[in-house]
Order: sequence, then structure tokens, then C-alpha cells
Amino acid sequence: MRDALGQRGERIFEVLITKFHSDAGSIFKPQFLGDKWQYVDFIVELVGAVSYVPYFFVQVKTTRQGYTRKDNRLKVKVKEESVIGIASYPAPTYIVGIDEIQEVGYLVSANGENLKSLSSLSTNFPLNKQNREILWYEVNNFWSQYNSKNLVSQFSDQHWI
Amino acid sequence: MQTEQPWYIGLRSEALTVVYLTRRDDLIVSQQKQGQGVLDFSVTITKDGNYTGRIFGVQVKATVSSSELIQDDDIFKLKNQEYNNLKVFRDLPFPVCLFFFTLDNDKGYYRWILEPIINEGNNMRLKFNENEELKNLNDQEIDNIIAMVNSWYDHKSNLVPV
Repeated sequence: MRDALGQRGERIFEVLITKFHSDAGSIFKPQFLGDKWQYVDFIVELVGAVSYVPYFFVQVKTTRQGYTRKDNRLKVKVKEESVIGIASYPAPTYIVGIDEIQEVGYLVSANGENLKSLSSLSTNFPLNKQNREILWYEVNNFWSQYNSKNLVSQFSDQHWI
Repeated sequence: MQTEQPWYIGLRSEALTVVYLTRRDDLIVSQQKQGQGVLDFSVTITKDGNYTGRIFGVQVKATVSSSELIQDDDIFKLKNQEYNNLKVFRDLPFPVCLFFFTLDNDKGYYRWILEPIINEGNNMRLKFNENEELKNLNDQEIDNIIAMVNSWYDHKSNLVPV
């Protein structure tokens, strides 16, 4: 069985990331990947992009330890191996720290800006409406530069009807 | 004709159910996989970290808009009664609650489907509740639910002398 704290944190993340952005509902569609994925817990699709489906990966870290006195950082730990692992995905990747007691979350980029272990996490970017919107555009902009037509596959069906 | 619900209704309401219930650290919340039984969740009450065999069920419903509820003091009723087809749970052998969420404000409500009752003479039974009134779901009400379930199981244990 997965540990109770981790399971609760993952559910809090689902609630926070799918909060209604407008009358149209949620702008992110998360899918839990399961325990066997070493570095990432969720793949999250953007809802509402035009002709493609942008996505990003999230590792969720949950704590009951609260915040550091200095700089009010959330007390979660991420090992160096894990930081390098999550940054190795060629897609936008983030670490989300969850304060299990207050049921709030904080987002930090894990796209290789820093590859050292993390002993506490910035609370500058709470998972709120404003940051969800910034995140949506950040990920959408990343994928808008990507052209799937670059791939010339050996497995194309010439008689696809 | 039944219209298909938006994808986020199930995901958000199930996540909220786990978040609400796991504020207590003595509950193990297990989600039933699709096609495995009729209930959305079975909840096990632990004691000192150990399984007790005390289980109750939770069925989850939700609506996008809180405007689908009619409030009368502390009591809420749904305008649309399609959520209330709950007879399929009638024969379950343990207490079952309905959790209802309004997803525009993440508020929770509940009512018993199979309510644990202890009659005079300490006879315990489950009452199929056809009263459609919902109450606010909060930490205190979850404590009340657990207390009622525990009390029901206490009396069940008393039926057979050890």
C-alpha cells in the first residue's frame, strides 16, 4: 500500500490543479502514473489548447513539517538523483510541494535550472488561480514551438484509409 | 436522455472525498475500481494503526454548480432527483454514506444511504434512508459519522459473547 501521507498529498494536488478556472471548468487534466514511475507522479494535460495536447510532468512531495523560519520555505526534501531524473524528461517538469495540514501546494520548475538536492521548497508560487494560468501559458508556449511533423517514422501505414 | 458528465466531475469529487476523509489519520480509504462492485469507496476504521474490520461505504456524487442545491437552514436538497437512485445499495451489510460535492466551491454535503441504527434493547440494524435531505460535510460531521459507525460495530460485537 502506498504511504498514507503521499496518497493524501497526491489527492490534494488533484484538487488544487483541477480547481475551476472559469465557468468552463478545469484547465488541467491530471493522470496519476502509479508507483512504478521513479521520478514523476503525474502527467498533466492542458485543456483547451487548439490543435495539439500540451502536457507536463509533476513530482509531488508532501509534508506535515511546515515551513522554515528563514524565507518561509516548505520543508520537503528531494534527492539529487530525483532532481536529475525529473529534469531529464524532454518536457516541462515541475515539483509540487504540498502542505498536508493546510491543504495548499507550491510549484517549482524542475527543468534543469538546478540539479542539486532540495532540502526545502520555495513558497513563491502557490498553486492558485493566477499561477495556474501562468503555468498553462508556459507549457502551451513550450509545445507550440514543437513540430510533430519533424518525425519521419519507419512505421507509417501507406494504405491507411 | 442522460447527458455525459464532464470528465472533471468524477476526478474532482473522488479526490475531494479522499482529502476530506484523510484529514483523520485513522481511516484507510480504498477506491473501488470500475466494474468491481457498486460502491465508489470502502473506508476502513483503524485503531492504533491496526485493521479492525470496521468498514463503511461511501458513494460519491457531484454537480458543477452549487445552484443545484436548495438550502433551508442547515438542510440542503437537490433540485434534480436523478442523483437519488440509490436502491442498489440496499442489501449491503455495512453502513453507507452518500457524499455530494458542488465543484464550483468544493463544498461537501452528505446523507446516509444505509444508516446505522441501534434500537432499544441494543439491537442494531441498517436503515435504508429515503430522506433526501443533505447536511454539510465538515470535519465535525465526519467525526460524527465515524462515531456512529463505531457504535454500531460495538453493538454488533456484543451480539456474540466472546
